[in-house]
Amino acid sequence: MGKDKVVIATVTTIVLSAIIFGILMAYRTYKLPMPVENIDDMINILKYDKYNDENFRMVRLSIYNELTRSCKMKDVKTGEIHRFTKEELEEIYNAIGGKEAVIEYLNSIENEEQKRKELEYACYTLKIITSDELAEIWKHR
Amino acid sequence: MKKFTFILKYFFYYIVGLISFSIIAFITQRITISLLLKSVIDPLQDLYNISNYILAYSPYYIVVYTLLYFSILYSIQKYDKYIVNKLNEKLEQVKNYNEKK
Repeated sequence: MGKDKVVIATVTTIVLSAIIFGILMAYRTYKLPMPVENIDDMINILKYDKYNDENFRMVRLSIYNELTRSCKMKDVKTGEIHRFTKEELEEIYNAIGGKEAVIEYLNSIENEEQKRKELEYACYTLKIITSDELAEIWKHR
Repeated sequence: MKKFTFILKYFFYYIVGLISFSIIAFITQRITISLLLKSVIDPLQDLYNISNYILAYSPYYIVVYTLLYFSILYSIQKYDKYIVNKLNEKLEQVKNYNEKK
């Protein structure tokens, strides 16, 4: 192995290590606990809807989806981490009403302009429905 | 003076390697995270947030790259020693062969 081969091996090692490290860092970021101001308040927000607001239900479902990535919440003030069990997550999902309730709400909007806005918000901003579901709901207007 | 040039040369390699390593790792990280989150990469937004990214990720990048750099240097040094020993052995063999002649 000559000098050139050593250089090629070194550069390849650095490039491959950078790619593997980048993937690991992305996965670590993806699995980080969800940062919140207060864990109990956030659980209450997710479990109980004081205002019975359908739009807020969509936001809660989006937060729930984010929570399911790590199943953990971190209090940014105290640094406390709360790990959610499968049962707790199921309870929150049922309290929100699930994706079915959101789709039902989106289907029930009669005003076309508002429906378009809500569908875009749910699909592109909150990412709680897929583009196929968006097309399906839009088709049945 | 020679030692200073030697250190400067390896420091230059370190910096060039660190920059290349960070750029490749950061691009891979952004692509992977956008695939995981099923979101679109916005290069302008990323450029706008570059200082935040540097503050958040640079310690990890520096630590990992430094470990990698020194392990590569160690491996190359070991390999150099192995090659020199091998050459010396061959030289010795040639010497013995010539003496027998």
